[in-house]
Amino acid sequence: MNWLEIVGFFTIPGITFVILMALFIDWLDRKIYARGQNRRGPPLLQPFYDLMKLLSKESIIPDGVSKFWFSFLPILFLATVLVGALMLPIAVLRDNSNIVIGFTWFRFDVIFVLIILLSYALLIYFLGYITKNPFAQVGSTRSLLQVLSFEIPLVFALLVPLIIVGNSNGEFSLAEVSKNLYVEVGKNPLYIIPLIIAICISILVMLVELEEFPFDAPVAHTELADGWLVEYGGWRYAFIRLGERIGAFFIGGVIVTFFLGGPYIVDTSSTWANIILHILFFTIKLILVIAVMAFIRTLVSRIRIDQTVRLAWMYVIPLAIVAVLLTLAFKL
Amino acid sequence: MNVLTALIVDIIATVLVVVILLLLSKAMRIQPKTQSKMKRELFQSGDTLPPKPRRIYIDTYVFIAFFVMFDVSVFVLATLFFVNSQQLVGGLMYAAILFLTVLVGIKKRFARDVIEPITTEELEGGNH
Repeated sequence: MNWLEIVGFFTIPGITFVILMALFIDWLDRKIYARGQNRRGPPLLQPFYDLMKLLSKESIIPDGVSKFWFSFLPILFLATVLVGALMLPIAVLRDNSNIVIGFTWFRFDVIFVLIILLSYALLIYFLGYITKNPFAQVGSTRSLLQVLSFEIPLVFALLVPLIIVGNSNGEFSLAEVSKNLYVEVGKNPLYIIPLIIAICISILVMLVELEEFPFDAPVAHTELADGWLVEYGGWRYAFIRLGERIGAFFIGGVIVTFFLGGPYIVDTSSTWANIILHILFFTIKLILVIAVMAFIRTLVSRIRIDQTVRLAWMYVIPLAIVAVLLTLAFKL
Repeated sequence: MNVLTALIVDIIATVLVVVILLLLSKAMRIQPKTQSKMKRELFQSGDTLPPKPRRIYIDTYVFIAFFVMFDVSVFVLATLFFVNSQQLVGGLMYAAILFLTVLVGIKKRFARDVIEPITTEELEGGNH
C-alpha cells in the first residue's frame, strides 16, 4: 500500500466513510419513511445522537446469560459487516489491470460475500439464542428461517451478473463484475431482462436481511417486543445498531457492485478526479438503492413468517431460476 | 492482494473501530456499583411467571437442509462451470462451512429433544 491508500483506508473511502455512510443511511431511511407517513422525520445528526446515547447507557447483563457470549457476539456482529463493507470496490485502490478494487480484495471474493451474508444471519440467530429469553429465541429462529429461505434466490440472482461477465476473463471478483458488466450488456442488450429480475430479487433479499417491512417478523415490536434484540442495551445494543446500519451499507453496496456497475459511470485520466467521481457515483447509486428500499417499506405492512417463507419458495425462487435460465439462453 | 493480507487489514480495521467505540462508551458511561435483581431479570412482558426457553423444532432444520442442498449445489456447480482448480477451493470451503454449521445445529436439537420431547399440543402451537 502507498501513502494515499493508507490514508484512504482510515478515512474516505475506508473505515470513516463506511461509518459515516452507515449513519447517513439510517437517517435517510428514517426520513423517507417519515415523509411517506406525512411526518417530518429526524434531523440529520439524529443517528449520531442515538449512537452516543446508547454508548453512554448503563451496561446490564441479565441473570443466567453467559457474560462472554453476551459481550463478544455484538462485537463479532459489527466486525463481520465491517469486513464485508471494506471488500466493496469504491475508489482509490486499483489492481494491475487498473480496475478499482476494495481494501480487502482477493480473487473470487464473490463467495466470501455470500459467507458474510450467511454469517450475518447466523450471528443474529446466536445473538437471540444466547439470551435465553423466549421472545428473543422466537425472533432469532424466525430470522434464520426467513434469511435461509431467501439465501437461495439471492445466490441465483447474483449468478446472473456472474454468468454475464464470467467467460470474458475467467475472474470472479467483485471488482471484475462491476467493471465489465455493462461492457457485456452493451454487446448484448437482451441481458437487461434477467438483470432487472435479478435486481428486484436482490432488493427483496435486502429487505429480508435487514428485517425491514414487510419482513420484520423477527423483530415485530408489538408481538415480540423487538424479538432477538429484547435483552440488549447500552454499548452492546449500540454495536448491534451500528452493525445493522453498516450491514445496510454492505448489502446496498453489493447490489450497486453487482447490478449497477459499482463506482463507474465515467473515467478520466486524472487520479484525483477519478477518486472523487468514483466515490460520488458509488454514493449516489447507494442512496438510490436505499431510497427504493425505504419507499417499499413505507408502502407495505408486515406479513407473517409462514407467508414470508412461502413467498420465497413458491414465487421468488422460480423467478430467480427463470432469470438464470434467460441469462444462459442469451449467453449461448 | 492475497487472502492473508486481506485478513490482516480486516483485523486492523475491526480492532480499531471496536476499541475506539468501547473507550468512548467507557468514558461516557455511568456504571453503578450494584444493580438490583429486577434490573437483571429477563424481559417477561409484564408476566409474573419466569420466561421459559423455547425449544427448537424440526421444521427449522428441514428448511436448513433444503437451503444447504440448493445453495451449496448451485455454487459448486457455478464454480465448476467456468473455472480453474483454485476457484473450486473457494466453493468447497463455502460448502464445508455450511455443512459444519448445520451439523452443529442438528446435534444441539437432538440433545434438547431427548430431555424435553415435543408434545402434540405444543406442535399445534397451543403452549408457547
